[in-house]
Amino acid sequence: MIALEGVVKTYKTASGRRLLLDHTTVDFPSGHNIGILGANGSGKSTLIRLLAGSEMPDRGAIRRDVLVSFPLGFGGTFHGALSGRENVAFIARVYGAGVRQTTDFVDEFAELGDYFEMPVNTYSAGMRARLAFGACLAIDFDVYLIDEITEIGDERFRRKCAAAFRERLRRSDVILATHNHHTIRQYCDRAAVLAGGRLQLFDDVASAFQYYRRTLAEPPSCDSRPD
Amino acid sequence: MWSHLRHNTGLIPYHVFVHASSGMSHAIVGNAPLLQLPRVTTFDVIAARGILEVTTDIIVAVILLAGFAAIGMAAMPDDWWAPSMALLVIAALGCGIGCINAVVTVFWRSWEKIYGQLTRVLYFISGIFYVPGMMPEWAREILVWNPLLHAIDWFRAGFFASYQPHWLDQSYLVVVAILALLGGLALHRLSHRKLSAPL
Repeated sequence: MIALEGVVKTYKTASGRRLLLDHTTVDFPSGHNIGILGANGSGKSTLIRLLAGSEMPDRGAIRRDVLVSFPLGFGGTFHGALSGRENVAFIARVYGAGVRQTTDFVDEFAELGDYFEMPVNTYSAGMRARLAFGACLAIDFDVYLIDEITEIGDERFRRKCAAAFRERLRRSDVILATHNHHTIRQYCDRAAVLAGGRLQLFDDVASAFQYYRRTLAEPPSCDSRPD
Repeated sequence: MWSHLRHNTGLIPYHVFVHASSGMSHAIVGNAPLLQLPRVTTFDVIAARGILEVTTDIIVAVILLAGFAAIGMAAMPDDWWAPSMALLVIAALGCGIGCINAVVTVFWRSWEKIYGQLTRVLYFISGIFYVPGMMPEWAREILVWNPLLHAIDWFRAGFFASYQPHWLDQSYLVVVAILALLGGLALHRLSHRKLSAPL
């Protein structure tokens, strides 16, 4: 379970402080795959980073009693000057996984070929995403945190990812932030809506969508911001 | 007094201090992708950078002095205790200031550039090539407030048995180093929630 306890998170922007989470207390229970819905700039990416522990709340605490993945998104956790293999080896060491076994898995899974030995700087966005996806799958996390990154690579690779991911979801959970309704329906049995500083968790996806449409109908309280 | 050794005994502690304190400035802002891994904390990257800089400089110092010794120039200290302690304390001071710099740079990006310029000034007022013994009394009385000058003279005193400057005050240097370390750690502790900047 990942539990948010009285979490406050604000951001400084040119037009002043923006409130992303206002004294939020929510439990993300184990055994469920949870989608996170939210408009652009509502703070989905930040929420994912908070759940991962990559970022700290201004106030309150986030407790985890499971092994939570690093946030799998477009930002990437890679050092540009190191090769794909070196980056994966580092991640394996950080999580205490076998280095050889982890790099072998990613080498096979990500299908980067010779690029696996090249600096990550030379990768295209899609190649980076494949590397990140492979590295994340290579380590046995209890909860995978995914930020808008399910549509990577060509059709064949996407199918391979989906299959590998589905296989993993038999043992692990996912918390997934995305705009894509299909992705949420495909993977999630619950969903939460992040809007106006409030995070509302629903027991089924349909009521979350209903609520989400209502929040979209209201005029946005702040300018949207790229996340 | 061998002039190359006089100069180098000044440069070694100076570099330990400057490389640690400047190198650590960039620790947090330069490692944003690494900090996305939740198990890597801002303290980890600051400490790792400090250890890297200090270790590198000490290895370089050993190679440099061993090189001088190998070609028959005077390079061995008369007393190993003084230079070792001086390096330990100046490394602590450098890491303390470096920790402060790392945090300040997150909130004020220009700080690392400004600090880089300040260290150039330090080069001239720390008694590296212009040793405090050659300074006019009034100038030395001002410059002894610079803790780096004490570290350099402490280090140097170990190499020259005859060089025992009366202005050298090791306890002043130790106190400043401890204060800098505590200050750096306290500043990090107080601001660590805000340090994990988004990419």
